Amino acid sequence: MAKLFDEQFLRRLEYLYLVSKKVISGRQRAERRSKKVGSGLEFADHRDYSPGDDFRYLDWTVYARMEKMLVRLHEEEEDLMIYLLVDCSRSMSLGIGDTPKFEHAARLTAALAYIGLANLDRVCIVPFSSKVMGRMPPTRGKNQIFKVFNFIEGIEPGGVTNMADSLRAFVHQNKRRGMAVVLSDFYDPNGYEDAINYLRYNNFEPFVIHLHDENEMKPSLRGDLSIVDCETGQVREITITPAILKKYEKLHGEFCDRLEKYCSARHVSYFRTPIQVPYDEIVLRIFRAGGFLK
Amino acid sequence: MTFTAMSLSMWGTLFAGIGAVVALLYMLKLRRRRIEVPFGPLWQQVLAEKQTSSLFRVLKRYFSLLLQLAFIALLLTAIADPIWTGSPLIEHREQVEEDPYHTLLVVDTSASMGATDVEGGRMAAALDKAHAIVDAMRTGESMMIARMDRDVTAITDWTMDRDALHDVITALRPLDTGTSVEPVMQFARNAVRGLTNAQVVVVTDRAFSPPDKDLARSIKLRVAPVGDTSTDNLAVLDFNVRSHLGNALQYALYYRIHNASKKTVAATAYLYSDPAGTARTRQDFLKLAPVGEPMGLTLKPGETKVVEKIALTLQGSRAALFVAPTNPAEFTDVMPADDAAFAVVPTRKEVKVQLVGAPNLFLQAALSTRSHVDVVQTPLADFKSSEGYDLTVFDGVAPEKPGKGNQIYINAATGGLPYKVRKGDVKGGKLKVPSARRKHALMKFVKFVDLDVGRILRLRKGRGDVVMARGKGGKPAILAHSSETGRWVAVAFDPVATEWVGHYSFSIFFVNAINWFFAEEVKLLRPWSLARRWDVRVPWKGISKVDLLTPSGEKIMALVDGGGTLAYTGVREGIYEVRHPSPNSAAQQTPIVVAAALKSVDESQLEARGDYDEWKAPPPKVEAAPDIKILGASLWQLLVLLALALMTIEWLTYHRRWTV
Repeated sequence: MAKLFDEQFLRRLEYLYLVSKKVISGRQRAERRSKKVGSGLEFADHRDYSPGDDFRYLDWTVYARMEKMLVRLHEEEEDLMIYLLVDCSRSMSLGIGDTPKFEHAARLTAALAYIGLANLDRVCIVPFSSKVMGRMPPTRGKNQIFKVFNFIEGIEPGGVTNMADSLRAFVHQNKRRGMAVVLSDFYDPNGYEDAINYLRYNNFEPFVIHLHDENEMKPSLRGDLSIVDCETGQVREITITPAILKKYEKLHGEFCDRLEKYCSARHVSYFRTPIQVPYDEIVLRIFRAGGFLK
Repeated sequence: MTFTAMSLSMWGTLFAGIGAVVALLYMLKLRRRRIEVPFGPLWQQVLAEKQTSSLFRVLKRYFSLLLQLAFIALLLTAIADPIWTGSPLIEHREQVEEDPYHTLLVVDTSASMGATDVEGGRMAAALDKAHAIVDAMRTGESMMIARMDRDVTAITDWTMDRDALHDVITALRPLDTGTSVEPVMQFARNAVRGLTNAQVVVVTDRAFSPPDKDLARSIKLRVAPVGDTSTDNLAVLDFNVRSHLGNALQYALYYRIHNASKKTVAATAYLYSDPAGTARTRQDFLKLAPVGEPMGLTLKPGETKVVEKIALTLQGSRAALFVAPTNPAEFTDVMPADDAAFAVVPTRKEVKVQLVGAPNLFLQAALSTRSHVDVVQTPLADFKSSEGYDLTVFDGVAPEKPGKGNQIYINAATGGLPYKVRKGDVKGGKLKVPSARRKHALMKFVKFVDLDVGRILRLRKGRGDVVMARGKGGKPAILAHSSETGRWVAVAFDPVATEWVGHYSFSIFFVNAINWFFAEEVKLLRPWSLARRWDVRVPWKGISKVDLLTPSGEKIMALVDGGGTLAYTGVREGIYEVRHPSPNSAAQQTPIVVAAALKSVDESQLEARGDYDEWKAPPPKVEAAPDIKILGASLWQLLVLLALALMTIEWLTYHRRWTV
């Protein structure tokens, strides 16, 4: 995994950081604005001087002009909790095209984790399928990137997708709120709506990264086939005709559009990332253009 | 519609078998490949929208199989070569439920089938009838074709393949041979023995003696007659050329002309001779100019005339005689095969004879009877050798060393004799020619009627010596001997002292002797008839086969039986050459020439014969099934096209996934 990120790419990632629309309280001092007023660099407000206040924070220019003793208040800059929720169900590892979606998801996860670590955010990676399959404890600092790599490499895709149960468990396990970046193909027979809502309703800031395989949308299938659902093992017999392919393509497109509309309607950031597009282009161009990275 | 190449049951069996295999393959084909997809519910949604009508879906699923089965049915029907008979199908279904039919079709290919009394000739009419009979074969009927001429020959096995039968029939041509009907009946009885619904159909002009009535009935014989009632035909029944007894350079001609018609006809015979000795066919002879004047003769209805011509000068070793009506406008000779006959002309040799002894006018005269004999009188004292002479005659004396060569010893008791003589003489009495030697070349036409030869030498018959005449008590009076070094004849008495010298047979004896010495009697081969088997004697010893050059120029190998007889009988008129099989043999250069022609009065009688109903009555009328063509294509071709169209539809609908 480490080989995939060359030196130049990593250096460019260092200049990026994840944009959080919400201001979420952090735990340690960092570079993120927080609701707290403290010793940050950004000016926040004035308040009347109270005995015991540090004289260094008196705004002498105001006192000189208005003869009032006001203390300068600064915003406290804290770290941000970034949860990277990676779908590791069986459908993610099915490689109809050149590479499986999971490999792509893993690279994106690593890249986003590196961005977060480089900005002193706390990064936590949570793989899931039918349930939460593990958890990389929140990590901070750029030098922890290898820990991230090792964790990602250790993830074994498999199992049925059950996003609702998985994310409900995730919410219950992680009390500290933060960004929740969901990387998945969203092939959940039970639907993805509840899962996204769990994040929303529990004050996480969900980001939906929809891993999309063009080959899945336009499969090159012909003849009489037994279609086997790779996760459930359910078999359906079908004779592939051009009309059926066309119909499937249409339905697949509708599925993707429905997800996008659902997210947009709920102010959830949505990014459709075709796995045919190189991940560095997604990170450096698409995510930036979409306001996910800055 | 009926099938010509297979029965309906066979068609059904094949269809069931192939259809089962196709259905099995179809089911195997329906075993689907398993493909993993990431999200099954999407496909489920697609299927839910597609499965609008399950019944229609099932029908569509089997539509492809039905198309394939229809394709097989059409293809099998095309292979079965269907023809439209116009009969209701139910009739044919009843037919095929019976035992299969077997028809032995015998086509007459004898010389009379070459007659042209009907349009196109009898053979063409026969072939048309044979083709029609093949076309009218029932479903599942097997047929065998045989040709009938001097022999009977099966030319196919039992088959239902109409095309093969038609091909065989088309290739049939009349031969120049006679007809033998009894072997045909025997063959037919053996061929149909044990077969169901067997019949024998003979396509013939019936121009021969019909077969035995009971035999014909026993094999369910039916006749498809061809030919007209016209019998205008002139035939050469015999033709021979032999040396003229008096003048060896001239020939005697003998021929028989037969008028097979029912009216008097003026005929003309034309004689042809081939000086080059290369002519083999009638066409070869007709390129030459006729010899002498055409010979006219008038023949009454059914009359046969024998004509002899003597003192005829011929060039070459081969001759042909052609007969034709003098006025073709009044008489049309409808059968060309018997209008010609061929003969081998014996060639004569210039003979140089040395007569040793005292002058003997009787002997000189007898020797000179044969022309081209040059007699030189030599006293015994002047005799040196036999070399330089074709024949040496020792009259009453013999030298101590007579040398080798052909020799005649007359009343010679001393000297270097090739035979042994006991001392003294005996009473010869009346001479007799042994019956076994009467046809010997030396003794032909030689008779000793009441000839008392008086005293004769006591000759001892040695090894290889043949007694040609015996005297009283069976004592040898004339001995002959033949060896590789030459031939000799010993006469045990002095002819001058008897009345034999005054008899014509005295001269004939010496003419015969000269002919015999030079083996000219071998060349007096009589022409052979193509209506009968040949009996050609081959003079070469120790061979089992010879090379035979037929009139058409084809060189074939013929076997020689242990008795030295050629086991071959030709089927085409003309001149045959029998050659020694060894190319290095000197005999290879002197072939035996054999002349052959039809020469059969039975075959030349063109009217139909036979007096019982089965032989007279034609078989049930058979009509060739019409070969219905639509847009220029036969039924089977249309079926193949239809099958291809079905296959295209199947491909377009199934493989393009329109029907499933």
